[in-house]
Amino acid sequence: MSKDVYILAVSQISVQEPLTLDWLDDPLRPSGRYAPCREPDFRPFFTPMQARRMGPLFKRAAAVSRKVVEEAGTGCPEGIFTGAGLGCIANTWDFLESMCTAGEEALSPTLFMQSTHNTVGSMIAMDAGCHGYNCTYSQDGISFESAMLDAFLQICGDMIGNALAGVHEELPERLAAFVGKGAGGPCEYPLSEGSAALMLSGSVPEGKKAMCRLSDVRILHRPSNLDEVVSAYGASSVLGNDFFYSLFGRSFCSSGLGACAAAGMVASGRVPSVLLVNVSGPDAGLVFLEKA
Amino acid sequence: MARRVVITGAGIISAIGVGKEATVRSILERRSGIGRLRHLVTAHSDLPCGEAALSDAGLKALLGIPPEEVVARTALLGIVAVKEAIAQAGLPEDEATALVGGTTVGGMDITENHFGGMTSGDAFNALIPLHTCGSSTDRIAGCFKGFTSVTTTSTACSSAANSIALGANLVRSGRFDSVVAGGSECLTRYHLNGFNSLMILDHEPCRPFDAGRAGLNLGEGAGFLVLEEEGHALNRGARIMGVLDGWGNACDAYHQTASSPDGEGAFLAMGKALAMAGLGPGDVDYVNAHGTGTVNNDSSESAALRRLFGEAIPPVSSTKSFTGHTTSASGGIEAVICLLAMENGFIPANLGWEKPDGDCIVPEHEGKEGVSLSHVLCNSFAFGGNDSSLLLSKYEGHE
Amino acid sequence: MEELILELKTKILEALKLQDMAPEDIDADAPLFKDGLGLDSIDALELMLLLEKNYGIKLKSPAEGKEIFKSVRTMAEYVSANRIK
Repeated sequence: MSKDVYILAVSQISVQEPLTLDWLDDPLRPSGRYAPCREPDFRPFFTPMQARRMGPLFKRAAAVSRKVVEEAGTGCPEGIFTGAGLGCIANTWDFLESMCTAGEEALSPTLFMQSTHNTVGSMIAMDAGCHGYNCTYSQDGISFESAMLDAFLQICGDMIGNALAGVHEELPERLAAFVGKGAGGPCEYPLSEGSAALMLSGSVPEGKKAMCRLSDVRILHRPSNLDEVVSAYGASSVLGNDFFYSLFGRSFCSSGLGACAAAGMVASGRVPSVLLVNVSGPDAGLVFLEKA
Repeated sequence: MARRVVITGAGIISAIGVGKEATVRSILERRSGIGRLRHLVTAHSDLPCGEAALSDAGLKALLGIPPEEVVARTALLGIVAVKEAIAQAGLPEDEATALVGGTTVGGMDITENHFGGMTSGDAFNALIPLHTCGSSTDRIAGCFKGFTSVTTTSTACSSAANSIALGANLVRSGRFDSVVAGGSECLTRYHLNGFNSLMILDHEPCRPFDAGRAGLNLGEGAGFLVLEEEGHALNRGARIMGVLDGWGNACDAYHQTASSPDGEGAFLAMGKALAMAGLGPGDVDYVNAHGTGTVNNDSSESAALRRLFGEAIPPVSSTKSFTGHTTSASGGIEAVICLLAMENGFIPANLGWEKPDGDCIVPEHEGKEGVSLSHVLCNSFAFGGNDSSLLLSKYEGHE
Repeated sequence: MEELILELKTKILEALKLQDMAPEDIDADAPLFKDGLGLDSIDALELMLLLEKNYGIKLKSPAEGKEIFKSVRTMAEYVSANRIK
């Protein structure tokens, strides 16, 4: 377990300026009940034929994934690890609504085909022609940490040399009220959505610079001693749910977006190390970043 | 030297029974669980399915869960299988272990049954969070004391196989000495209609690899394994049921629903599992195929099997002809069936097969008893080309 | 027939989510699948749904659609001969 794991590149689409971390010094503070993504111009990314079955979720996921793979210069990733808490909720909803209201006839196969949680992860593989390891993790708010944990262990165990890890959630406006009802009443942070991608590697390619070291990932269920676990890391900065909710709003991908921001903070020398502590229902996820 | 992952417990529930004993009996008596739906209410009640015999109320009674508590059927099925697996392994109650679930449906049964109420008022708000895959695994974990990490894989029909692979990684890496991993999935109107819209459901009992095959039958259930580091199992005197010597995961990267004609993803997944186990194709005594019964899967899987094994294809059968396609649970259910086959020395039949198809391998359709199996491959493929294969071996003692 | 062809083109673009294309971008005689528009087996299912919803024509299997969905013109010919609404 002594092998080093590096984060070579990160990319995000969220309420902040998309596909960059330039906003880190002066971020927006999303407010209200619902804060959707700021979309980049997707036209340079996809031909009309490619784009035709891609809803916003797929476009965002493919864009951030392509961006980090290109920046890291590793070529086709050896493994693709995708977090998806709610999955393709827009297609799921449309199929469900039409089944529950119009009845069990003449339902769209395209909606169903693109409604499983692994649609995004496998589409990223198809987009890049990657036949390597490919898995999707769906554990509510710690879907991202679950994906990162598998990637981290596989790089440490020399099963793969590099990994594309990410988390992707969508929340179209028509679903915000429904999801809000389930999320338990008003909260100081708006409901949101987003895509985060990180390129992890067991080595730094020549001529490239790592953003930071990924020193550990843990997931915990009903931890009785979270404070002790956290302090044992001795991180110079401990950032919790308030950190990433205040930057990105609340969604199952907030901690993944937070990890992108934290990697940017370590890379630019703002902090030597960050422990991200994400509590989601009975589960918790920890991601520990240190300067490379 | 990598830590060796052995199996000390297995739990199973499906249309052919609750528990390992009932499952073995059904398979040896060639009794399929595919038939008319009794619990799921749907306009497509003419479609044969492999439904578990117990209703939600029956499952709750079996588990001692209050009848008024709303629990996803996926979680109920999962609890049954996890309980059986842990009981067999005899894991101490306070052993810190991880639970890796596998599901895609999650709490969809709750959502589709309360859709009107959930969307119009606030009376059902508390049920909304139960929709997710993660909440279903958390509910399973809630029935036990020892789980200190819980997560869920969701790769559609290969979810359980990938959960077992992740569980094995957690053991191999030293993160845990024991992990409970598998998958569970209940039937829902949602995915019955989804598969129906894709026109891949057979209106007759499915016939994997048969020339006249016309699609799959959906099923439901759960299958979980207790994965343990060999030394840890030996030290506490546990009986070792089998070894997880290898696992392979590859992406077909061809189409969201169709498998590639040459079965690239399946071929790579099986090859990786063999390579990790340090075995060659000639060592495999049986393949539990994904074998859904669709025209596309069975021909693509056959192409992959032919590429891997050449002329010397070992006995292959699809137990989906017994259980129906239990989607996210299938990798867990079929891994348990493989362990039972090694333990009891049988090859399960491939029911319904009559006529060879040039595009397909010829399965071991009648099944066999009194055989000795040392190494078996268990295949699980999925939408998105998320293909996985597990290599299970008989335990021959400490190496 | 030309009117029905235009109607079908519009409905195809909608059903197959080809938002960035216009009806005139589709050649009525060009193949819809593979080399032509590049549609796949799922699109064939969507086209079957389109016939069912709009014209009351119910095909039994995708295989039946093979000849019908060769081009927009063959679709139009089939619709005008078999429509029940």
